[in-house]
Amino acid sequence: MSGPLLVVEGLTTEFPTRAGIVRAVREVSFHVEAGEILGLVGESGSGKSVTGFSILGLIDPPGRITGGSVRLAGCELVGLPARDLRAMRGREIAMVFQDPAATLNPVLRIGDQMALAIHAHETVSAAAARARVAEVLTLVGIPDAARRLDAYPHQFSGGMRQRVAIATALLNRPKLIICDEPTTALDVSVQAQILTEMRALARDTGTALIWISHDLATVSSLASRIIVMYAGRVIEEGPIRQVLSAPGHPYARGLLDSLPAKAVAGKDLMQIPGAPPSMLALPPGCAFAPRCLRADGACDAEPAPTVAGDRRWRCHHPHAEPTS
Amino acid sequence: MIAGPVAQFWSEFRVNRVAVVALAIVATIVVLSLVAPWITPQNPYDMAGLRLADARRPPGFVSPRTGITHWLGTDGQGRDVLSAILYGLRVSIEIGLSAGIIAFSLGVTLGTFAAYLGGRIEALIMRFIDLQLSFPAILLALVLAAVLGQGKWQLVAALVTAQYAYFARTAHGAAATERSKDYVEAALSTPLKPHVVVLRHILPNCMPPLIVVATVQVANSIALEATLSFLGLGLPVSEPSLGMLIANGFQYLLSGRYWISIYPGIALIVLIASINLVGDQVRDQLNPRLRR
Amino acid sequence: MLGFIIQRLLQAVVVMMIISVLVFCGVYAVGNPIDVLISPDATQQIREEAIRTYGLDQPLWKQYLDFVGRLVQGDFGRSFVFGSPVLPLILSRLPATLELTLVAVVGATLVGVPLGMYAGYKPDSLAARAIMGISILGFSVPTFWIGLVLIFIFAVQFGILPAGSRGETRELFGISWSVLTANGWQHLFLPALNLALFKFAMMVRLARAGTREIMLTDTVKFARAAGESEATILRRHVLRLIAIPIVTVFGLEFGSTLAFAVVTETIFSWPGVGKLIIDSINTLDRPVMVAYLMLVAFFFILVNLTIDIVYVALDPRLRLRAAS
Repeated sequence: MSGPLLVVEGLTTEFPTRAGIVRAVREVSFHVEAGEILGLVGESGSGKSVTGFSILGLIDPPGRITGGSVRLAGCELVGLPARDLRAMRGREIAMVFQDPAATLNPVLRIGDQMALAIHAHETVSAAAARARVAEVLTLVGIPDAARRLDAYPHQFSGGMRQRVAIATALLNRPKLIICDEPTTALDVSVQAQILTEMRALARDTGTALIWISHDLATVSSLASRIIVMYAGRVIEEGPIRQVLSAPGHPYARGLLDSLPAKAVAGKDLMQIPGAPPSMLALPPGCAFAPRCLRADGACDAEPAPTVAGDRRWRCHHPHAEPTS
Repeated sequence: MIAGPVAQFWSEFRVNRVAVVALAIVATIVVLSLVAPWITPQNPYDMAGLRLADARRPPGFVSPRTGITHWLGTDGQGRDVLSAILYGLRVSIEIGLSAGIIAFSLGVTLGTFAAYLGGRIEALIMRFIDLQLSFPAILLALVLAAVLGQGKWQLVAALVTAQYAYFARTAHGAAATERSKDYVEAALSTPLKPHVVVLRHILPNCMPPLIVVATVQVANSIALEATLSFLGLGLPVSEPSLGMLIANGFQYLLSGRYWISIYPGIALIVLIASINLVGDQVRDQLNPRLRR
Repeated sequence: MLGFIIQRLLQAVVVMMIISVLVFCGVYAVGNPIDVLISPDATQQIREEAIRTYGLDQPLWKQYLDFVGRLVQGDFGRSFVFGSPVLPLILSRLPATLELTLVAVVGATLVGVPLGMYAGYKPDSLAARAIMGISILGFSVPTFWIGLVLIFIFAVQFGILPAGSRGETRELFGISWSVLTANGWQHLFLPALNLALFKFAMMVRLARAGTREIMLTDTVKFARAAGESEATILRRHVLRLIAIPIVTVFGLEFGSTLAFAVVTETIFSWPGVGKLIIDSINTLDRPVMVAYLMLVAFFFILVNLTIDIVYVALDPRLRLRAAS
């Protein structure tokens, strides 16, 4: 067998602002196997979305990737000419965004805007493109798809719109789809439906997913492996069951404890004290230390990643010793 | 680190060098036109002081009769063009500002009033405003200037009529948004007098878009005044504004005596462009959608 | 849709009635036309005869009723100055103005929109700054002065283009057109350029602002993530989205350009209605003024009506509201 589908190593992305340079993603490393669903969890501002955009080379200037590498099936993406990157997007790696109302073009017919994504990569007749669009729309569970190609986005419900966006991502049969909180903007019942469908779709098409979310519960029902980000760094990585049953990093533990499912009836939900640090004024050493109950002098130095089998974390005082 | 909103605004404004230069130019022009009577070599409105023998002289001409150096030449009546420009700027700014301020007060009062009252009166007022806005301002001003006749205040009235509607619509839009917000509802449910709520709460929040409209409209008033004067519908001939200077120079332009029309025009453009540049920066700064 | 149009038409009729009152009142307050019509040393008898001929001895309300009655029959009265019926007089001048306006507005849009989109797409580039510089100038420089400068440069200094009048025309559908002859284009070029500059500046700003805002939206990010090229994004997504405000302004500006043609026509002695109205204001030729204003008002209402309909056609979201 060849190596993993996607290997991210030491990825660093920076945004110059008036107040100083924001390093939104700091030396992030992880990998995705072919056909695998990887959960990427963190609160807003932790750098999880920027990580997704960095992989696609879609960082808006003046922001840019300043270091590290992203290899897709052995091919380096960082530093690739814009033309090759464009050809890769959609065809090899596609992306689905949070708010379908904002991603779909309100003044273009569904069929027409989806066809644009096909024509971006191959020269096919309009009729052939239309047929493929209808086929994929049916695949994502849109009833009577062929007849709805001429509809506009506003004529669909939120859940249907997100299905259209997912179908757009699937059009060119990419090997990997980065899903950036695709269910956050939807109703809870629709969320559950889409989660189930996405799992089935990924399995049937053999597409790998990176599922970005702030919601540990969603990710745990979907992903086989999980990485947790905090202040631009990956602070914990491992198979989902092991991380959920015995989180190593105190922040991951805190996230887990604050899940409503863990709460005892009649008692307050657990909370992580304090607030995430400003990305402009990160504390030296471990960024979580100021909020961490286990922190001591050692935490003024950046913890190196501890690796044990499939698991990895960055902490001087982890909750559990790594076991394989 | 605690800076007032003005100081903070300025610190952002300062970043755009072009806008800072433009602001400096506007300030310089205003000061120069204010002190014009003391720095110009000649009073261009004093017909008795003009020498016809000095008429239509090119830039740099030194009159043997008065000893004045006409750096920008003289016009058809022997006026020093530079002096006429400074006096003309004075008139332009005076009219532009007066029209701007009156249109601002009138429009804002009407717009916030309509938004505050709501219902049929609001619909009626805003319908009328929209109707007027669909008409080109220059046409309204043209007809009014013709109807009211020549004179400074007639001209201001024509400009105000042509422009108050922009303020009214902007103020109405902003005020209607504010009006529907919870804090205004909350303020209205307290024993505060309604006009206090409007003045203290609604109006301050409408200011950013109004300031932007105001800069644009002052520039527009100045341009419109010049246009009307050029068409012969503005000020009396005895006190030429920039527009009239340019109009008077038109007949000489075809024979190559460009300075009578061109220099006043440049002065006019520099003033208007500077105001617009300042306005652009203010608008970019106040537009929350462009903030990242 | 039909109900929507009928409703708008009814509104238009009411508006025309209001305008007729305003115009009548406004214009009939202008000076005393009899002073202009007859030399001051005319005998009292000639004076009274003239007053009777022109109906100036009637009370204002009577004059208004007569006026409306005649309007409905398409009779706008006789020009005090030319002594001929007003409507044919204005109609004979209209093609020249319409031609000038159309060339100016269409030209400004065709050049201004692409340049504005470029300036919005690459706002920090040198070319974008140059475009914006020209646009600021076009915005700030009064039309009449630009006209003078154009005449000075092209007609006086270089002598390559004529300074005024209409040049050769050719008949088509019974109307004379300058655009059909080379000489006509020579005469048309400077006034059209003069008139177009302000519209150009406006189109540039509009297209730039729209493009800048839309380039930051998720719609564009999503299209990029699907691998669509920048050219496709600009042509298919951005252009369609900014088309709505541009069409609105195009229509509105077409009307105001008709008004601004007053200035350009005066400078270039272009024999259109603009020059006619300035002459009639200066000579207090009331019937011409009234007829001109009524026609412009009529024209404006027509344009607004068209915009409303095109709007609905362009923005599918509005169709629902229009239908209900």
